[in-house]
This record gives sequence, structure tokens and C-alpha cells, in this order.
Amino acid sequence: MAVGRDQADTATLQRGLALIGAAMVLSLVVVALCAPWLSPFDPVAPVADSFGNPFPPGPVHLLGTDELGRDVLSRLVHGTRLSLFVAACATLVTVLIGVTIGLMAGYCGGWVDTVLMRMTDVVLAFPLLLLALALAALLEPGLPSLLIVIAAVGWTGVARTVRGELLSLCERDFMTAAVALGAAPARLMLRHLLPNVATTVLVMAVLSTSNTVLLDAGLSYLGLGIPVPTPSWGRMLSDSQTYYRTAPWLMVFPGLAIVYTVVAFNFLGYGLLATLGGNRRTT
Amino acid sequence: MGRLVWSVVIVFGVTLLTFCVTFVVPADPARALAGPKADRATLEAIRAQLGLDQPLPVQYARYVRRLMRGDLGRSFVTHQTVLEAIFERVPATAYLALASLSIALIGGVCGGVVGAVRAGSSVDVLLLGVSLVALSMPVFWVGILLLDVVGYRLRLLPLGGFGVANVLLPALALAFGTGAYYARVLHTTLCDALAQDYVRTARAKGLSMIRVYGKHALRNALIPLVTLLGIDLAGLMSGVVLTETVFNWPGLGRLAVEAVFNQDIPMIMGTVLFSALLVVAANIAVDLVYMAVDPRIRRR
Repeated sequence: MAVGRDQADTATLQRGLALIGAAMVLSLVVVALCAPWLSPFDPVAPVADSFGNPFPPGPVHLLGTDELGRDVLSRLVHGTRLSLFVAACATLVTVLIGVTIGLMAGYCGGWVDTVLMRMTDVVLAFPLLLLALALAALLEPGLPSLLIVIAAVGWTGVARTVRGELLSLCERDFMTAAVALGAAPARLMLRHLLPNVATTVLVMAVLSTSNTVLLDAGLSYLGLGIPVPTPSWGRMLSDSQTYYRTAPWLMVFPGLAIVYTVVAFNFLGYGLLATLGGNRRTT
Repeated sequence: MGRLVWSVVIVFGVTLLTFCVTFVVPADPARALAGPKADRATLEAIRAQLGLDQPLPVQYARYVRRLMRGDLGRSFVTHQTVLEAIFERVPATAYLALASLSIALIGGVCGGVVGAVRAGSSVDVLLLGVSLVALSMPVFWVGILLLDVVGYRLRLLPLGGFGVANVLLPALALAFGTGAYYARVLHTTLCDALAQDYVRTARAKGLSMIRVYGKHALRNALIPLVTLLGIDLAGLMSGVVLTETVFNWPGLGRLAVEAVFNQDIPMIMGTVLFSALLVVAANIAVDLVYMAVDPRIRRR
């Protein structure tokens, strides 16, 4: 039947999406790891005599140079390092906080659940970027602050999803059996519930990585990321805005790098969501 | 009614969180509130005025009492009261947000309907790809690109300023991601609606395509989008901050960013608190609208 064929097509498409996403993420990781060998010039020091007058892309500087005579390609390649590092660390913290709160709310239920979920609602009421701005203004600029800021505002999605999954998991027979066998709450949460939400958490982690990359880029664009001269994509974009009439390449390439990264994690996330969601374990 | 009570609890939580960020996180709240250039006398005056030597619960009670009077403090850069500064900027932001939401809704509904009607076709796959990429573009980059291509190179729309033609570029930049998101959500809900029995009945009655899709399926599929409008207002405000910075738009977002650069803590916390309260208010409004458009909720 036509419906059957459509479903088969969709499944192939979604698996393809996940594979493309995985390949894109892998390419980013390779670039980040091999940054010193891949970048042709020093990313921080001026390498061309183009002060205030950026060179367009050419044979020597493949993506041109910026207003201080620094090689754009080298800065982009090193920017990958920073972007992925921040995204990985922040996502890890975000997921840890989110899973802990979600597990506690979903397992304990009752007033613990009410308090934790209202707390989530409160954080959700704040525009993420504004809350991040306020925190960033109060803390010393730098990597630790950036991670704290992103993690402090980003955990709500994971917490809500984990809690939602637990509500139905706690009703299942394997939980009744485990409780009857006298398993301690910690064991119930870590050995019985956590493995069952692992798939969802993995997907959420991948999807929230793309949000983290965007938030990090936004904060760097506003000048609240890692201080200069460390190359960051968001900062490169905000610097390029002065020169968009004469040197459009300065704004095109960092933007493309951000989009590539976010698309990579989104493809992987949505692909995984569709592929793993279809055959969820029925233990 | 129960929802309204919870909203009060959320408002309480919102004030508690802003209070903590303002008075508990900084090492010296008086210094943070008065600015780096304040002298000893000013600091002492602020400490006495805000009761910073009192225990935290007492400080919080005083803080809430000040908020109820509409006293969000005073900027130590412009010496304007924070509430005044916010009210000056609200119209510009509301204008931008409404223009952008309209564009996003029109684009999202068109994209969603076309994708759902032709579900599984190459058009659908293309729309899926385009919307995923659009969702992945940072709003400030879209803004800079629009400025460069439409504003500067093609000279179709003005680059800056404040007016009807001027709002189009920033609104478009802001609508890009939101529209793509609406298209995805509508695609899902519309596909669900099209699989329902009442749509089959409508088709079996021999109603035209337009009546089946427009009157029967779309109306029901649009309902979840109403809730999204409310939930998404917080996300929209985040986008507003970036868009206003790119286009130099004189709204709330720029006020916050300027305040951050001046280390103007009362102004930052004022705008943060104000936008959070705005989001809570919008969610209440959305709940009411939801009840109006979906009779099933009222009966529950």
C-alpha cells in the first residue's frame, strides 16, 4: 500500500539524516583535534600586512584576512576547537543537572515533583539569553563563567523530558518487581530507571548541543564569551559587522561555520530521535 | 482557575530568582547596584536604604514591597528610573515582535500546509531540509546577511532607522527561525489531523479539497500553535536581544545589552525581571485564548 511505502521512505530518510549528521559531527571533531596542523597560519598573530584593509580570499590566504591581518581560515579552524569544547562541556553539565532533577522529580513524585517542576517553570519564564546576559555581567568573563551561564539556563528541557518518561516507567511491572525485591531508591533510579531513559537523554543531549552552540555564539557575538584574542566564531561575526560593505567574506565564513555545526547536531539529533524512537525497548 | 494560582507561584519564583541573582550572587550587592565609581557615602546610603545589613528573608520582603510599588531602582549611568527606561523602549520591541510574528505565522502556515498536503513527496523533503537549516541559522548572522544583501547591495530596504519600511529587515531576520519552527509543528499536527476520522468523513461527503483542509483539518491543527506562541515568547525575547543589537533597534533588548556594557546592574535586572513577568502574563493570555478556541478544554 502507498502508506507502507511512505513509511519505509521516511525511515530511510531519517536514517540517512542521522548518518549525514554523524559524518558532519565527526568532520568537526577531526578539525578541532587537528587544528594546529590544519591551520596554515598563526590564528592570533597578524600574518599579513593588511591592517584596517582586509585582504579578500586568494591563493595564500584561502579565506582572506581580517582587519588586523590575521588569517581567517586559521582563526576559523581554531574557533572550531573552542566552539566544540564549550558545547561539549556545557552540554555535559546541562545533561547532568537535567537528569538529576528529572530523576528526582519523576521518582519521588509528590511535593518534591511539584517544587522541582515549578522551579523549571520559573527558569523557563526567563528569556534564556537575557538571563545569561545578567549572569555574564555579574561574573568574571572567561571559560568557567561561560559554562556556568549556559548550564544554569539550559537544563530545563532535559529535566522535563526525563521526568515525563519516568512517570510512565514507574508504573511498569519491572519497577513493581524491583520494589518488591527490596531495591533501594538509589538502585531503582540508577540501575532500573536510568538505563530506560538513556536513549532519550542521548537524543536530548545531541539536540541541546546545537542550542548550546547557538547560545555560545550569541553570547560571544554580544562580547560576553571568551575574552579576546582567542578566536571564537561569534566574536569574529561581531567584529566583521564594521567591514560588511568592503569585506563581506569576514562575515560569511564564521556564519557558515556556525550553521554547519548546528545543522550537524540537529541532523544527528532528529535522525536519532526518529530511528531510536521507533523501536524503543519494551522491557 | 488552578492555572492562575500557579502563575502567582511562578511570579513569586521569578522575583525570588532575580532577587538571588542581584543580592546573593555578587560579593558586594551595594557596589554592584551603585556602580564602580560610587563613593563610600553613596554605598552606605544604598546599604541603609535597601537594608543590606538585614537577614536575607527581610531583604527579600523589602524587595517585593519595592517591586509592588513599581520601584525597580535607578540606573546609575543615566540616573533615570529603570521602569521609565523600560516603558520608553517597550513600544519599539512590541512593534518588532508583532511584525516578526506575523511574518513567521504566514510563512510557517504556508510551509506547514504545503508540506502536509504533499506529505512524503520531494517537496516535503525539501521543506524539511530547508526548515532544519533555517532553524540552525543564528539570528544575528541572518540579520547581518540581510543587511548586506537586501539593504546594502540591492538597496531595497533602509539599513537602519525606525519606521514601517525599517522594521521589515529586522522582523524578517527574527522570523526566519520562528517561521521554520512553526512550519515543522504545523506539519506534524496537520498530518495527525488529516488521519482523523472526521477528515475522512468530510472527504467522503465529497467536500472540496479547500474545505477539507482549510475548514476541517487546519482549524484543529492550528490549536497547538496557539500554545506555542505563548511558550515561545521567552525564546522570541532572546532573539529580540540579538536582532536589536544587529539593527540598532531602539528596544528592550538593546537596553539590556547597553546596560551590560555599562555594568548597570539595576537596569539589567529590571529588564530581565520585566521580560520574565511579560512571559508569564503572555502564558495566562494564551491559556484564555486556548479556552476560547478549544471548547474541549472548558468542559474538562
